[in-house]
Amino acid sequence: MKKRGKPSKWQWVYALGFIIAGLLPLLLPFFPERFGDRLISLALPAGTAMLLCTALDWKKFENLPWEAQARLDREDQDERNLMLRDRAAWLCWRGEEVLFAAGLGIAYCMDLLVPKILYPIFLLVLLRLTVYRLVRWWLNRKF
Amino acid sequence: MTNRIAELRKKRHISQAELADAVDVTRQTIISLESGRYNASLLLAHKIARYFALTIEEVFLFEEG
Repeated sequence: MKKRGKPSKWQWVYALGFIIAGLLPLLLPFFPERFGDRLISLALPAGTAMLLCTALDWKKFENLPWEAQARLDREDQDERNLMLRDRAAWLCWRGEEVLFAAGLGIAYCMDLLVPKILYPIFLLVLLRLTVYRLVRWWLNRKF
Repeated sequence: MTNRIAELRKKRHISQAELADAVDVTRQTIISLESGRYNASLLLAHKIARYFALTIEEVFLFEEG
């Protein structure tokens, strides 16, 4: 089995983000109670688990000999590996789109698309497209 | 695009792992480059050419069309 490399900064950010989200209902008095309880019970344990796993990965990496650390770093930054990662993400994204469209088609055929379901789906699609366009615009400016 | 990496490497008795170490990529990347399944970035092409003390055009052969 391939050893895991040094945790990326995003793994720390995700874990801390979940923990902060889980703590928000405790810190903000005006938080809706029902939503807050669910957020605490979901985000706090998830964030703590993510933080622990990331810390363990980091510790494991730190304990490796220098050569192994360099090899893992190289594997992580290798341009072919980065290309494979990008392509895999892109293909999965396209696959998700196809599955999503198929799901919507099936739901439409079975008369399941009531406005209560359709409206959040429409918002989700719109949000996803907007975020995609914004990220592309930002990357276009950056490069 | 084709390249002469395998030929140059064998001529100089360098292993794929040694070349990979020298240009800071994985051995799998060198394998893919040699088999023509992957095209190097300009930066990697430059590093490989410099390693062999040649120009990029002497290592990487661009084919029109």
